[in-house]
Amino acid sequence: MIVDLVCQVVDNFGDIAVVWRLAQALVQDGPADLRVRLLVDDGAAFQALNPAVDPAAGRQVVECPGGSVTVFVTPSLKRFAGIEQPADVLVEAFGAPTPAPWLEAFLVAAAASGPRTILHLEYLTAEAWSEEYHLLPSPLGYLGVSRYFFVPGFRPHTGGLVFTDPPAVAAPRGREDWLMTLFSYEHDFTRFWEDLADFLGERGETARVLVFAGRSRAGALKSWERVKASRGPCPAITVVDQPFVAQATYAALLAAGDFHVVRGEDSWVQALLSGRPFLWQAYLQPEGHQRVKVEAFLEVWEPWFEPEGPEGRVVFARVAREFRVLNHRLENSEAEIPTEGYRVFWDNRALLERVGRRWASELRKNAKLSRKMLEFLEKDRV
Amino acid sequence: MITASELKVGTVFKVGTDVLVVQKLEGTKTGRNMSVTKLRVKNLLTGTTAEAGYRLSDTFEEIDLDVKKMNFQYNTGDTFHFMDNETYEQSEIEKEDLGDAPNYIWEGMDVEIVFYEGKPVTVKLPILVDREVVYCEPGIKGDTSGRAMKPAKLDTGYDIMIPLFCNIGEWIRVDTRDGTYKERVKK
Repeated sequence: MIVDLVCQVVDNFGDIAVVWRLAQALVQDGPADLRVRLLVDDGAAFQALNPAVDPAAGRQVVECPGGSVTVFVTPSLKRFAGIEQPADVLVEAFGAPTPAPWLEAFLVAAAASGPRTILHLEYLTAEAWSEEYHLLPSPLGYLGVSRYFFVPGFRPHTGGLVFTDPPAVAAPRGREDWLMTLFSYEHDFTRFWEDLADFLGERGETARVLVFAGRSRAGALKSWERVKASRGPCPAITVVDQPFVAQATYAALLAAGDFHVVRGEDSWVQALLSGRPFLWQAYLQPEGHQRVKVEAFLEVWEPWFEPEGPEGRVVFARVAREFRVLNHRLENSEAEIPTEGYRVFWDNRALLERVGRRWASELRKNAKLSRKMLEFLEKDRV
Repeated sequence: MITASELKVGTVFKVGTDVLVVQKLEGTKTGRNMSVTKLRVKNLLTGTTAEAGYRLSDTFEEIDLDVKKMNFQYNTGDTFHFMDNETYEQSEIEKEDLGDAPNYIWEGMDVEIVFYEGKPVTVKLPILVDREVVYCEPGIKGDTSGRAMKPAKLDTGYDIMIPLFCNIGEWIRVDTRDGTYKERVKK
């Protein structure tokens, strides 16, 4: 079976991050004769996640654990003319358009030699409709072709989450007591630095904070300078201006860390699966629709705090408030937002890690998207 | 070409080699950078009905259709009977092919009937229709905000939510695209 993944990089790294992870997971979980091909329109973004990728090479084979993926890099999906043997399954990720010659060959092959499947891979959401739309047919009306929505999600009857096995092994830590990472969208982190300085000062502890390259970097570093200027030197905090790292390295850092600010989709899922306390900044949507996504996530997360009893309920309420505060924005800005503070994540690290590990374990067991996709394809193609 | 965002109940469109008619719009959901819509459609070539989802940006070939103004005469359970106003010719459409239209049409109403290859397949409704409230709890004087709603039944049998200030015997305007109350009207 040949599975083609089509990826259009709309902005940032999230699109290719998810699709490349899915390609690897399919190789990992698929039968021995499964061939995975990936077509992407931004080689530079892909290389940032996997240095082995040559952004200039049109066709290349990229190694991954358990096998390899054939990668096609093109500046434009619409104009891409390269063609090989038509796939059996076409996964159009996040609305990416399949190049016309590929689609034509796919349809011809379906009509001539048997069933083919197209999957519309959607963005991850915790909203209830994810179950209703997952595997919803989207007929194309061509002989031998069936098309479906494939909706990732946290709920049982969704496509699940994109991840690979085994869980990342924690990266070696420095001598500091705390390790934290910041990788989000634009945000003023003044309160973060102030809270962290107070927290460490009270406990006589130290922290290393990795400020990752990307949209949150400027706001994080600028606010750090401001806090130092107003409070004086703060030797308990070591700030690292961290260049972008490969996916595996990032996952290892998440596994090693104590608190992570994450964003979008891929870093969010990886932080969740690390079992570590995290704060998620959702992708900004028109009319503040990201708040709906955040509320839906809080709804599916809350029951995992129940085993912690009354204390768990209190901690959840405070954590939920911080999620709401961070995501209550109508446009990208670094404007300061009133917040109760970050200490809830650190004061309650042990409880949050227990909750995190329980959910991560369940998700790893029952919500692996690649496995669900392969199981569905097996049934659909019978 | 027509986009999925333009599909309405009764729209006939071509998908590949299939000709589909929209029987019901079941909602639109927003993901990042895109929205998807869920429909109930009938395949006019095979007669089968199914749920289907499309991205709002999906495009379809439009079908050349004959549309005739006809008068709704009566229904006999699951069959609705219409008459051509000029030729007096009778046509029948099964209730399931009318989508939500039975909620808004009444005997004697002129509607547009859509024909595909000589066969009536669906009805095109006006966007707004005026109907009488035949049942609801008593109105509450002074509440004219229209924000608080109560259940009601229209003379077509349709159950709808209306503002608290509306009463039995009053007429309201209904949006046939989503079945919601628009305003109170004087008759």
